[in-house]
Amino acid sequence: MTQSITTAPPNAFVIIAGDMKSAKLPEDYPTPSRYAATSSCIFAGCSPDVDGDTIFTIGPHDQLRPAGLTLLFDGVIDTPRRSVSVWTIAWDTLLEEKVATDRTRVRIWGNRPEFPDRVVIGLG
Amino acid sequence: MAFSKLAGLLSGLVRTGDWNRGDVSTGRHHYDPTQPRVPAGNSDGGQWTAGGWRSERASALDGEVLSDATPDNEWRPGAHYASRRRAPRGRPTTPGQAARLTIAEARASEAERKVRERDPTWRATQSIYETVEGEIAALEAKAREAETRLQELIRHGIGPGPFARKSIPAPVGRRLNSAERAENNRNGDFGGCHTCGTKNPGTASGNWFGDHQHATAMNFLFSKAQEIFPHCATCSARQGGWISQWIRRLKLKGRLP
Repeated sequence: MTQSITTAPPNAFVIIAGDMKSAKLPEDYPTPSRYAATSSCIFAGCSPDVDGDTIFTIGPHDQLRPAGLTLLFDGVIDTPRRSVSVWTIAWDTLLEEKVATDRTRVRIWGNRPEFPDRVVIGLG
Repeated sequence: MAFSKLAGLLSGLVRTGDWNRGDVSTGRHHYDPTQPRVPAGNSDGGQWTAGGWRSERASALDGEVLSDATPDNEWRPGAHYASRRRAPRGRPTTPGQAARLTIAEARASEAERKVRERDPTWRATQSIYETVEGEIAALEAKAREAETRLQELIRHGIGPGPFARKSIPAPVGRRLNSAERAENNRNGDFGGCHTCGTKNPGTASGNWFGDHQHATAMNFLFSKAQEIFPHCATCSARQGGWISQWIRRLKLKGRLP
């Protein structure tokens, strides 16, 4: 099942991780691509709030249709609680999706390389 | 000894009749080095006494050794530092050491104040010391730690930055409207990013980020109304990374729900 939310996260990025407590946060953010990741956490850039909202969609990879979007990130993160969540920098939960394994492949697409206002997060 | 003090001493001896150990008329002195004298610091300080003298302070401090010698461990540069002692410790042995202690305390206190203006949750690493030199070293380390932290906070956009000039009042419960966004852009074009000073906002649209100060995620610690300063995309992201670490730390400590 896929979920979506339209919002304007502060500081123009969100946190994607399996567990807030155990996630190791990237320390060298921001990178030129505005994506940074460790083995348990991803910082994913989006549109600045001054430029409007961003639509985030999360779901199993095989249920998403990222046609016309650019692949911005592809990696694997720890998901010890068998879920992947999208948080703001204040750790307010925006989206949460169950997964089947302790490590999960995450692919992220956007409608443009920098400051995308449409972000699709495919799991598995 | 100053002449006036010597004259006063002689006058006091004659007046009190304590010259009975010498003979004024013959000039013969029967000096007794063991004869007690009134301790320094009293109005009669230095005068011979028959042995029954007690100062008002001594009456209140039975058992304390009285001496007219200059104490080598009683130097008190000021009540303010003495009153802030948290634990028993030695006292400065020289004015120079006392001055270094006072300077170290002032530097540490000022550095800590500046940090806590931006991050009220910050605490310096605790130190244990037993001597004055140890305390001076601990205070200097605390000042260095606070100054390092302050630079970290400034670099991460926590609090108005070194290039902060114009700001606008932050709207409550909503985002910037078009007029406010235009004013924030003018402020950015004029003064640059308040953290790094760049004149390039780094966004695709050319809009400057509207950076709330204090940061919204930290504003529960402050009672001041928020202001909006222009922020570039790089500094905004760096700030967000720092805040996410900071909030998670508080949550894991149970200090935030």
